Amino acid sequence: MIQIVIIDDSPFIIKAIKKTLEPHGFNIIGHALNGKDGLEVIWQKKPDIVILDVTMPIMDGLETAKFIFEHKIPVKVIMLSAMGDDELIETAKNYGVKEFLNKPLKTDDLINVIKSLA
Amino acid sequence: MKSEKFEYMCKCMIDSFLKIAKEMADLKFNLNNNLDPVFNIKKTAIIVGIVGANPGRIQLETNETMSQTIAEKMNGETLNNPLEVYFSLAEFANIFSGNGLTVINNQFPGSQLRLTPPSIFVGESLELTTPNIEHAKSVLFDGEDLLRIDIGFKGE
Ligand SMILES: [Mg+2]
Repeated sequence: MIQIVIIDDSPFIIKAIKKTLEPHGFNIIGHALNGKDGLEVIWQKKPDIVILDVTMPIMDGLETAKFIFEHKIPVKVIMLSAMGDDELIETAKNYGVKEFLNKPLKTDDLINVIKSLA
Repeated sequence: MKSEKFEYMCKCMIDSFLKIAKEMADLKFNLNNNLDPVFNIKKTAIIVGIVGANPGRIQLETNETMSQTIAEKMNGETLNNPLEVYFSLAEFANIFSGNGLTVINNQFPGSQLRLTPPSIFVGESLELTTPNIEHAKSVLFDGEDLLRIDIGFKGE
């Protein structure tokens, strides 16, 4: 079963993703409200996939993604953000992010991307 | 900043708000600036900061009924915990502001406008003012109930 960690400062989003993914058999094994705590959760739980927000306090999603790729942490990253302009996506891609989705969350898109990574 | 650019930025934000309200909460609002702008009632205010070439902030204000309606429609269930209502509204403001900024950033490459995490304020007779905002616009909407969006940007 695919193990997923969510890093997003919005409890609404965490709940919505769980509600969306769990009926499809995906296992949400942890979450965090900022990138710094999120890296800790990834370290402890070793998920297959992390769903990563951009705008967060303490450590944002871009910094978190940069850290994950620079340190070759073995987790696949799906970025999920309210923002999605060309320059932001370019920056994320330069850090190593391959999957970038926009909020509001679209269930089918998220499930398809997860399946493509699995 | 030229006033045409500010007007364009406001339009992006308002369009985004209307689109996201429909998409996330199935709510339709109408611009109505004839409404009484003073809410001497308990209200929720969400402030999302903007950094980059034109720093500013978006402020979403709703009365209690409106807060509850938006949040419950976003969640698709009744919410009894006020924290869940506030967190939902905060993300609602984050999403429509982010979608609006995306359009602005693509129109003005190099602007690099980015959001800061939302702050939540709840209270009666809440008056919020932001200093150093040179361009500001307050927009009122009606629909299910009362809602105001205050858009402010500063700088060249
Ligand atoms: Mg966020």
